[in-house]
Formats: sequence, C-alpha cells, structure tokens
Amino acid sequence: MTNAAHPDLVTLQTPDPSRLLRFEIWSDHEAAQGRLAKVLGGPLPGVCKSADLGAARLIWVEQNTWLVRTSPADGDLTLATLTAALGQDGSATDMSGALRRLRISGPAWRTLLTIGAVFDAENPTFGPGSMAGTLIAHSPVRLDVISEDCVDAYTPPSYAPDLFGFWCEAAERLAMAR
Amino acid sequence: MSGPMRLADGGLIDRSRAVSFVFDGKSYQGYAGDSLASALLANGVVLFGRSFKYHRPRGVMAAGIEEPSALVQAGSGGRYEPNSRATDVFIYDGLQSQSQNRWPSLGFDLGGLNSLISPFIPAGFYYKTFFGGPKLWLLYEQLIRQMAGLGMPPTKADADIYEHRAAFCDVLVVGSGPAGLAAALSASAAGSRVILAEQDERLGGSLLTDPATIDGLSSDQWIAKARESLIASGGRILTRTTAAGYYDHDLVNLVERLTEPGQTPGADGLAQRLWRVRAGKVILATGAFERPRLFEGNDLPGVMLSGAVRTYLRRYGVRAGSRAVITTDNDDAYRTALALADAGSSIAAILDSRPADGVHSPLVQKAMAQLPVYFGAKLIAAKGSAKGLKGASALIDGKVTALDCDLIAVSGGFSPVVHLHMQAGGTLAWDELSGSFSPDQTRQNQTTVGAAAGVDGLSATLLNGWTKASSKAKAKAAPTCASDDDVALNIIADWEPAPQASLKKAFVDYQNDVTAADLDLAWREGYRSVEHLKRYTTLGMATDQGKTSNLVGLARLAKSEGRPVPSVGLTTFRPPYTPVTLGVLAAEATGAHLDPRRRPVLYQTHAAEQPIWQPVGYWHRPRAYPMGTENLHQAAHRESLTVRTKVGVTDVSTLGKFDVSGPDAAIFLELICATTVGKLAVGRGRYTIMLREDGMVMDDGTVWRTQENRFLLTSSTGGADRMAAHLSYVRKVIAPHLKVAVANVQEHWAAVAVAGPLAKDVVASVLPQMAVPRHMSLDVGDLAGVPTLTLAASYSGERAFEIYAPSDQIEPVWAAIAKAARDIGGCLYGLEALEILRIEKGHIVVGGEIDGRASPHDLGLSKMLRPAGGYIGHTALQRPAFAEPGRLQMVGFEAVDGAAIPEGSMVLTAPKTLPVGHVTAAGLNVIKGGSIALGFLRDGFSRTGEGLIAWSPTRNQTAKVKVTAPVFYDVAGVQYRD
Repeated sequence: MTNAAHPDLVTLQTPDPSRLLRFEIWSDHEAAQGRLAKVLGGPLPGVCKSADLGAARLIWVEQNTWLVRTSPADGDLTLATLTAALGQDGSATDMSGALRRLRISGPAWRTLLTIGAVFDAENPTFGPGSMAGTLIAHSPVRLDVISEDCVDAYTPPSYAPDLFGFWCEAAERLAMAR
Repeated sequence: MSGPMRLADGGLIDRSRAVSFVFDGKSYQGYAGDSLASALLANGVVLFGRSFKYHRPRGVMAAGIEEPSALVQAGSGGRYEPNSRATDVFIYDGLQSQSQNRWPSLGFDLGGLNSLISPFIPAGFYYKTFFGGPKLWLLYEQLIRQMAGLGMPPTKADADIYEHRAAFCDVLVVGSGPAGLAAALSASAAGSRVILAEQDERLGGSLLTDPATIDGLSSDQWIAKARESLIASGGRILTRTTAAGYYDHDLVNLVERLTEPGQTPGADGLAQRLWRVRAGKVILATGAFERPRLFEGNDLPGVMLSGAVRTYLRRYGVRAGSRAVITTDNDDAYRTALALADAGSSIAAILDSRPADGVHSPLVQKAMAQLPVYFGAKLIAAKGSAKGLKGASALIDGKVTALDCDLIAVSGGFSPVVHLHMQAGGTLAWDELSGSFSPDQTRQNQTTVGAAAGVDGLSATLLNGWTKASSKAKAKAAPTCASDDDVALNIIADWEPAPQASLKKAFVDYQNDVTAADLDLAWREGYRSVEHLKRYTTLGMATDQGKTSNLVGLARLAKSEGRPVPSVGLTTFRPPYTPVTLGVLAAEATGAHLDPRRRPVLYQTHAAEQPIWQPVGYWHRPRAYPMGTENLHQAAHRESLTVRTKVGVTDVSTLGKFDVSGPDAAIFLELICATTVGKLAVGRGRYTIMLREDGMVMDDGTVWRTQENRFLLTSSTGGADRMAAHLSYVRKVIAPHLKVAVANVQEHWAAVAVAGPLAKDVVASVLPQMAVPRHMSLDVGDLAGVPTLTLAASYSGERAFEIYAPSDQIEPVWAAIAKAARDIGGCLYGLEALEILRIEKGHIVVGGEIDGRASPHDLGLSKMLRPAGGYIGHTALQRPAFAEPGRLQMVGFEAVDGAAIPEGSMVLTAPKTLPVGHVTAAGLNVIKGGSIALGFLRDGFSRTGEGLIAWSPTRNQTAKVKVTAPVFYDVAGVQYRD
C-alpha cells in the first residue's frame, strides 16, 4: 500500500499487526463487566467509546460487544483471560484477521475523513476515546479516536488497499491545496 | 479596454486587473470580478445567443442564475461545459466561450428561418404533425433529434477531479444577502455551528446592487465584518456554492465551484465539490426573482429585467443603455430609473401600470420630480433586431405613443425563490396584491427568511433574518439600516398585456420560445391542468426550469380558466435548483474508485499466476488460470477435467463465515437454518439452507460443530453481507434472550479447497499428523507451523476438503497444498471451473437458482427441511400458494442437437410461444461432453423427458433441449464419499 506523509497536515500509516479479540456478554451484564474490569484493569468503555486499559485498547463495537486490541505476544493470554472472566455470561472470539488497522494522524485527519464520507468527523465531541462505525468510499470503517491528532480506522483487509489508496489521493489533494 | 458601455469608475470589479477572454472567436477584455455577461455588455455586445425553437436573437435578460437566454459553451476538450449562463460565469484569463444553438454564426443563423414559419409551428405542433406507423416515427425521430437540444455535449473525457464531502452543522444558511447574513450572525451568536452557502463569488446578495448603511457601516464594511465574525466563531463560509437539492431529514446538497466552467483547476486538480450537509436547521435566504412582463418583442436584445440593469450598473460599472424605458408594477424599478439617470442615461419614460391615484412613496415622488412618469401606462411593443433595440410603443393615457430607446428595463414584480422550501416538502401561500407565492407550512426543520419569505424592505429583512435564526435572538439586537435605504416594493401585480400587443411575439418562457398565444392555444385545445399545459407547450422546462416564466404562465392559465392563480395549481419543484455537472455527482466514484475492489488475502499470490479475473460483487477472484495460449473456455475445461480425474486446488477464502458460540448456539442456528443442525455431534458438519421470513431461500452453506457450544456457519460469498445483517437482526430482534454470540469471521479465516479423486492424498501429504476426516467431518491440524481446521465437504461432487487457517497465515498453507497437488498432476482452478462442476452436480448458487423467488420446494429441497419447523420462514412456507400447480421448479436441461444452451435463455414449448421457464446456468458436461444447464420450468418436476427450446433473443441463439433431473454427475453420490 502506498503512503501519504505530510506531518504538518496528515499522515497515513499501516501499524504493525496486532491481535483483535471480540467478546460479547449475553447475561448477568453487571457481574460480567465487573469481572472483566478487574482482569483488564478498568471499566469497559460505554456506548461509542474506547479506552486504553493497561496494554490493551478496548473499543465498544455494538450492543454488549467490545473489541480488544493487544499485542501479538499477549493475544493468546488475553483471549484465555477474557474467556475465563466471561464464564457462562459471554464468549470471546479471535478476530485478528478480520480487520486491518490504518492510522491517520496530523491536524487534518478530520478533514480527510469527511471526503467521500457520510460521518460527522468534524464534530468537536468526537474526540479522543470516541468510536464510530460508518461507510467511507463504500467501505465499512470503524473509527477509534486515539488523540486530538490521531485516529485509528479499522476495515476488513479486502477493502483496505482501495480505501488506503483513496485516502492517500485525498491527502495529496489536501496537501496540494495548501 | 473598458469597452464602450463601461462607466469611468464605480462597481465592485477590480479595475487594476484586466482579464482577456474570447467569445465566438473574438478577443475581449474585462476586469477581474466581471461576469461574462457584464464583460460582454461593457464591450457593447448585445447579441448573446439564439432561442431554442425559433432561433430568435437573444441578449442578456438577467444578472444571475435565472438567466434564460444568454447560454454559452465554455472551455474546450475535456474541460468544457455547455449551457452555462453568461450571467453565472466569472471571467478569467484565457476563457474560451462560444454562443450555441446557431449555424453558421450567431449573427447569421439559418435556423432563424424557423421564425418565419412560426405561425405553422405553434405549441404542440409535433403532436399534430408526426403521425403514422412505427417506421415513420424512426424518420421523425431523426429530424427531431437534429433540432432538439441546446449546447453540444462534450466529446472528451472530463479532465478534472471532483470530490464529495460530508458536513454537519447546527444551522445551514442558504444565501448571504442581508437576511442570510443576519440569520448566520444570529445563529452564530447563539453558539450554533453555522455553514453559510452563497452561490455568488461574493457575499452580500442584494447589497451588491443596492448598497446601504447597516449598523452605521457601509454595506461593504458590514459584510466584511460579518464574514470575520462568522469565521472567528468557527463558521464555514462557502462562496460560489449553490444549494442544489433539499432532501429528507434536512440533507442539503451544496455544489461548490472551485473553478469557472472551462477553467484549469489549481494544483489539487479539484474543479467542483459536492457537500452533503446534514443540518440541525436550515434557513433559506434565497431572495426573489424579478418577473418579466408581457409585450410584443419582450425577448429582443436590449430588453432586460430592471434589477439586472441596476446590477450591471452598480456592481459591474456597465451602463446597459443610453436611453431607457422603464415598465413596472412596483417601486423597485424607480431605483433603476434614478440610477440610470445618475449614470448619464436619459429616461424616455417610466410606464407604471399602477393607478395614478395611489399614495406615492418618497422614491416615486423623487422620480416624478425629475423623470417622465406615466401611471396606468403599459408597453405595447419593443422594436429592434439582433443588433439591439430601435424603440418601443406604449399605451399612455389611452393613446399609442412611440418611444425612442435602446434599453427597456422591465419589472413585473417579484417571485420569492421557494424552490428549496418546496423540495423540503413545504407548502405555499398566495398573495393576490403582489402576485406571488411565499412559503407557508414547512415539513422539515427549515424556515425561509427575507425576500424569499415575501418580506419587504431592508430593515424588515434584517430583523426577519436575525429573529428567525435563533430562538435566543432578541429583536433589539438585530442589525438595522438607515431609513433612506428602507425601500418597500409596493407591488400591484398586473399580468395583463396592453390590448394592442400581439401575443404571438409576447414571450412567457424565453428559453423554450413559449408565447402567451401558445398558452392560450393550449388552453383552447383542452389543456387545463398546469402539468398538462407544461408538457404540451414545454413551459418551464430545460435548464432554467421556468425561473422567470412559471408564474407568468400560471397567471395566463388562470385568466383563461377564470380562476384565481392558486387554484390552477403548481408544477413540481425538483432538484437540482440549477444545472449540476455529472462530474460532481459522480465525484471520486470513477475509474479505480468506481466501486471498491475487494481483494482476497491471496490476491497477490493469484496475480503471480496471471489468472483471468472475475468481479463477484466487489470481490475480484480468479476465473481461470490459463496455460500457454489457452482461452477461458479451454482453461476452464482443463481445470474441470483435472478435478474430475485427479485433483484441483482453489481459493474459497471469500465464503461467508460466522463463529456462533454460547450455550444457546444450537437453538439460534435452528432458527437460522431450515435443516436439522442442532443435533450435530462435535466434529461433524451438515449442508444447510437459510430462508427469509417469507419462506424463500436466501442462501445456503454448511454448519460445523467445532466444540460443544461453538459452531462455524458458512454461507456464500455473494450473500455474506446479507447473511451478516440477517444474523444480526435475528440475534438482536427475534432472539435477544438467547445466550449466544455471533461473530463475523469471514476475513479472519482464509480457506483453500482441494477437490478430486486424489484430494485425500494431498491432504494426507500436507497434514500427515492428522487422520483425514470423512465426508462432513472436521479435524484440526498443523500445516507449515500454521494451525488449521480441515472440513471435509464437497461442492464439486468429488471427494473434497476445505482447509482453514487464519488469513494472515494462509500463504504457506496455500503454497504447500498447491505444490502437493501439482506434484501429482493436479492444478489450480478458478470460478469458471467451479461453476461447471457445480452445474454438473446440480448444486444451487446465490444469484443463479437462489434468486429470491424460489422456495425450498421449488428447488427440490423439501426433504431437507426440518419436519418440526421452528426455523425462520417455516410459517410462510405453509402458504397454499407454494403447493399450487404452475410454480417454476428447478430442473436440468440437456442439449439434444449439439448446440450450446445459451445461459439466461427463455425456455419455450415451440417457437413464438410464451416462455414456460428460463435457464439459470449453462455449462459443459465435463466427462461426456455436450451442453447441460440448470433452470426453472413451470411444473418442471413432472416434465422430465419433454423436448423444449432454449431461446436467447439477445444472443440470437437457440438450442433444442430435453428436460432432465438437475444432477448430471454421480447421481448416487459415491464420488465424494470416499
């Protein structure tokens, strides 16, 4: 995949692979969340929110369902920990290959995400610790705002090359228009 | 450089920057800030184009986007735009513009002969002329096509880039005149996120024509201050941006012009941008259009709208004539008369159709003191040619009076611009005195302010904009103007032409050459509905969509009907408000970005084999792997034969895959699947079908029990997204109580299928530590250090396996299996061979036999259905219609005369009879040869052995076929069972 690097504007990167684990709670939510908070080191993020818990990034993805991003080395242990903590109230699934992460950083990341899109990326309340699911250039994308200057975008690997190319072209246009 | 009609000073143009441009091959110069119309007028050009039907000479009538006549082509090659309004193109160095709809030249247009025969070609003449049989129509069509159309379409691909942007705001203000600016400032002061869209290149709207003092500042200063204030508070101001369409949920499309028509874009290559704005509230400050009036020759060059004359004078420093006649039914035209007089033009007459006994405003009194004003007076005719006006005749004090003039400024009142309000689902209210519709009820979170709402006078307009924008706004904080600038219109609408005027040359719709006589004729011929009248006469069609003509036409129809204007109805206001380029609608979705290309994880590995690719939805998958000089057919046949006789390897990573886990996983799957799957033993799998709630088959796949409380559900590639949505719906809506988790692992797992008599040998060689599972069983293993899951399932009809591995580790798995297969004479195979093999085996596929209209019974799958029911679609399946005769049922077809069965063909009992079925998929019998097919046939299950005809009129192919069972290979199912 090509890259676009305009540090004063917007930079696109494909970070090193990480493990992605999905877990869902179906019963006794309060107790299950409490057990998970204990082993993960903090409460689960609320609806459309994300949070760093220790070495893992937790992202709410849909009703009663979260995604955990962790390092490849910690993946198996985290999966086992999640499974144990969930007990009979939920289950966890390895999704590492199901999503590709792209990192967009720089002051213009919000502008970039308005191109070919339908989502309000410029909303000031969409700040660090916010997540959203949307379509950009026909591709399904989940956004996780890491900081004021940086957002992670998750998309199925089959969409990633085209979406990345789309963003690179758009980023170049933004750079040229300065 | 300044041109004969340019004033020595004044206007908002930049006289320090001369701009060179070309019109009809001749070079001209204007100033930065000039529109093409103002620059040409400044140079003394009065002839801009030819009318559509009669090719009458036309000048410029308006100064904005409502211009119906001065249409030009701008640019060339891949940077070209026809039907651009000269009033809406700002000149730039190198602009190439050309008049259109004329031949051989604008000055000498042979099409003008149409004007001579105009008595014979009135409105709707083609309905009375072009009679006869269908073949005759082919001749007429050629003639009509020759005559139809305005500008020429571009002949080269668009050279520019266009972009779509999403934008959200609390308040979107459309229009930056005094009402719009006041509204934007008010909303901004209340803390709202504001977007202000202005179609002009400058903010200000009517203030650009009629400067005023607002809050003690000149209007220029007030506008600049407003701009600064809006930007400082985080507002977004988009100039040269037109609100083209208003859709549900306050979605407004804005088209931003970053370049003028034909202009080379900046470094980023962007020519236009489409903003899709979702607004919390929309404020429409779109102003009003001035209306023309009916008199003979009202379309001649030199006849202009009064406000436009004033705009050219004050904004562009161009005097449109040296001796003017003003015809009006309101006070606004007096401003034009006084402005012209101030600029040195003489005023031949102000013809005011209002009665003399009214109370005159200070403005009118001022004009009466220095100019010839006639009340109760009307213009009868304008006289002139393509070169301009030579005079006019008027009805003054009951007498026909000749007037010497080279300019006629017309004001027939004002029509609020209600297009967006109506697109948003609003209603209108009629005001008889001013003869105008203005917004009444709204159905979205939208309000209209200023002249667009029928508000009269600058102070009222400012107050209206300010207070309507925010519930927090206090009236006393609204901007205020100097009292001298507060001019009311005082319209008394008068639609009646002078009785002496010939209506055959009194134009209502200038763009479509519709005269008042045409409308009267249509009414006499029975066209009483405004919608019928529109279609019969073409009133209000084409690029201007009747912006200046609709209300005049309605009033004419109302008079004929003897009814008030509102009771004759309105035509529909549809987007776009002004013409929009196809380029900006498509934007990035062209070329490589037409749609996303989904690449399987092994895409690059396949690419190295140089396959023929096949798009499958968004996916791109190998269709065949040709060797040497093989074509698709040869390659697919070789690959199919290899699978039947040895072994083949194919990539099935794109299949839908879902991890279903939890104590209620089996219960959940028995809802989803119409077959018995809940009782599967761990390590076993089963073929299954899934139904929609209406009982039709939506997909098929397999279910595998990997653990006691965990299953893997597979579905088709093409139906994977639909299946994901279906599972989510069932999980969250139908069965939220179940203890189950459903994860879409389509791209987490990649898979390699191995099929053929030697498939077992391949699996055994690459997974030696694992016992090769029997049919519909699974096992786990380790291949090249990668954990694998091997499912024994067959789609081809041969002994077959699908070997799953995490997609980021599939590469060595594929490589090992492909090598092992090739080492024993096997090959890779693509979708074409897969298709041939599944047709031969009679396996159904989404998009082919699973077409959304077939029930399990129609597909011959009744025996698979779970007798106890309980699955989605079971209830609907009990409908009697499913068991009635005459249903299309799935059968096989065999060619009996050696001809290939055309795919997609109709199935007939005899030539020229109605079809009794259709072919869904056709292929080759791999071993025996000959053409075979699957398809649907009415009552097909009972017609085995019947001779029929497969006929494809689109391919001009026919084949005689025999009805068979839909299985052509290994009916007993021995091959795949080891």
